Amino acid sequence: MTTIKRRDFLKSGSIAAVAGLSPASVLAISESASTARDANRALRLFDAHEARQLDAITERIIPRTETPGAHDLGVMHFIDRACADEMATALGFIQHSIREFDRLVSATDSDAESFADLSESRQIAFLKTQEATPFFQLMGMMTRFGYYGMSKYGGNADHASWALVGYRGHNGGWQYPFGEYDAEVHIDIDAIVHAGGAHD
Amino acid sequence: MRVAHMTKLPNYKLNEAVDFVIIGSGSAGGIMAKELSTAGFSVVVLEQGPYRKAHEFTHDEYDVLFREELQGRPRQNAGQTFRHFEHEVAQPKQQGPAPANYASTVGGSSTHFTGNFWRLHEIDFEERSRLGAISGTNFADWPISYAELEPYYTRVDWEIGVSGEPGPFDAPRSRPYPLPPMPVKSSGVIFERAAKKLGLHPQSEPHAILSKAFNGRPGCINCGHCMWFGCEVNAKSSTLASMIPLAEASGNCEIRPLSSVFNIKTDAKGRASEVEYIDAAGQQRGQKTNAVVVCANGAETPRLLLMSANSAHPDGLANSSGFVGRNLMFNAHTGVQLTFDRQLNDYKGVQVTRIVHDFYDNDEKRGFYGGGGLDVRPLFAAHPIIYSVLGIPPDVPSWGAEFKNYVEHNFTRQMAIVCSTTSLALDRNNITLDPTSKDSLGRPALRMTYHDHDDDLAMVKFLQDRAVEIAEVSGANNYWRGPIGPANSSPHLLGTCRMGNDPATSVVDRNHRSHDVDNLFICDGSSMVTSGRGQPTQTIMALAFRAAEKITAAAKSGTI
Repeated sequence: MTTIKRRDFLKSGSIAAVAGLSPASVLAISESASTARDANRALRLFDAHEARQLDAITERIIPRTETPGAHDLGVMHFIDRACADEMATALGFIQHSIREFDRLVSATDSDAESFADLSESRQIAFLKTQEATPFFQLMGMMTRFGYYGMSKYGGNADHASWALVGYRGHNGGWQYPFGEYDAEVHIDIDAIVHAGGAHD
Repeated sequence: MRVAHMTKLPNYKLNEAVDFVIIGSGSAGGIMAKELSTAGFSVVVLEQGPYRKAHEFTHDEYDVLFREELQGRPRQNAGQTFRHFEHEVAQPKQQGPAPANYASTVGGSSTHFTGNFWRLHEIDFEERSRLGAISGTNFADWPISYAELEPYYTRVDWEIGVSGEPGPFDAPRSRPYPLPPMPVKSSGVIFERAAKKLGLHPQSEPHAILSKAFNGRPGCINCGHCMWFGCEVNAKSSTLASMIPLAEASGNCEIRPLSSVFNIKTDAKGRASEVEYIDAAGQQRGQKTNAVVVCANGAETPRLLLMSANSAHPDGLANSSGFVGRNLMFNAHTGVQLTFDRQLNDYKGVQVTRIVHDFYDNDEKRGFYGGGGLDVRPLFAAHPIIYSVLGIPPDVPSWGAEFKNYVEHNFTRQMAIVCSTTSLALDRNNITLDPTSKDSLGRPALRMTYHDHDDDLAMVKFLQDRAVEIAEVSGANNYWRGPIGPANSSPHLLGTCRMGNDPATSVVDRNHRSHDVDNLFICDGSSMVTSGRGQPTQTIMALAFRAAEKITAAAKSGTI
């Protein structure tokens, strides 16, 4: 896929976000964008094995459902970028923890040498044993940052997750009514005569 | 507003005394700078943070909420330690906001606060006299009354720009609000209907945010980034937007950002003579001055006074009472989160549009001291990352498909009722210098010791029970209680250099002059004797207008 085509995908994603397209159509766009992104962006820090594990872990935290998951929105790229920058001190811990996952999985499962080798249901069962660990909690936060944060940080491709939750917070200002409840009572602020005047 | 485009900003010499050095440029310091400079005095403002302008503020949730862009990033957190009790060894916090959670930027925390703007009531100033002593506490009356402060609350309303309308429990005001309240949001509509069913008296939330254009600044555009973020259009009435431009336009005020003060020197006569700081380039500087006004907030002000100990003031400057740093008050908080079938989209607009003050006053029947307020707001349902961390009910998993679906469905359908209360003044809650930890500039770390009084926690539980009653009749399809427990961080930093008439039990007099050093004044959240019920900023600003008037009068009569 050429760069120009990729740009077209991202552009169409923007339109999807603004137009509030259905989750399925956002998923379709994101899958295409994800393919384009993976082809064009090399990881800076993690080798193929580490990347495969992180991708699998983050995908279990925010999985693809009817809508894009962590992989689709490029959470791995957020982690790779953050570990080269503001979270650089976490890099060694993350790499160590991946090896620890390898060791735990291969010790308890003769068919698998790493977390990513496990079936989805076994991945979930394994992570339930890890919920209280600092590594899993860090992954939970980094997945959220990468999935719900600004795309300039590497993840949340084209801010697709914002369209999914109904958030369009970077569009500048808003006009009333905002929601379905204030729409029932809305008063135009420009029609309000100086409100304090009657009260001394 | 006339801005300072054409004004030549002064560049005062370090070794020539200016009239005033003001330490801090926030809610109090920004007003102090404007008032003293426009009165004709030469003023240097030392601000530890950078000089961001409105257009430099962002909507970047990751940077602002999780990387503490406005709080100085690791510097602030690394320079603070926390413990709940004095027998413990204070530790740096490993995660979450710094114990003293304030903005390091010109305009201080007035740039990133939510804009909620409650005046105190008469009772807040004289509650000790009305209720009697509370054993084991430093519960006391203020040396001034609401009536004495009222004209300055009104000046705040009209000079910075405040939107609102009076409510049934408000203290009297001498002049109406200059601007109408922000229109009600969906959360406010739901809350108001439910509260009225219970016979309560919901009222509009006042805001230090412009509902319409005022004084050359635009009205709020409802972008939804008031809480924690700086306002990109100057509709939030921070001192950065409202006061600093006037100070600079006077031609008498030099603001020195990235200037971290480490010492207030006193001379042979015991007067403050020079303020020593580390400048943007890391160089030590000293600004000679005729007087000093400390407005560094309720945590950094006592820290600086303690750091400024010298042979004449061995326990810290202005600390003959031992009250510098004591009586730290946060206002206790909790909440109830609620979800609804239909969309609120409460991430748009200001956070709060309705409040309930029916429980403001103390009530002996409750069996404990306190009072407080309820407000309604999106809280976490304003920004996707924080919502995905803190907006999820306890019975929903924190990862996986169910988690993800929950976030997608409920982000636009959720709100919170937030409970805010009194905090009692206690010796054990305080700011001291950490004996071992240093900050990145080599200064002793700020050590905070804090554990809410049992009555404060009982009061916040009482309010949460009332919030649950509102939730029950609100039409919510689900609601759950937030945690109640001892706090380990606060943006409200109150009481640590309290005002008072008795030099044995207070740090400054009723006019904010320190009892010990004639030309040292202190005005910020540290001046407050009681905590109020949860929104202290307007009181801090009113105190600053009043203090500036008293300081100006003293300077003009040659009595500083």
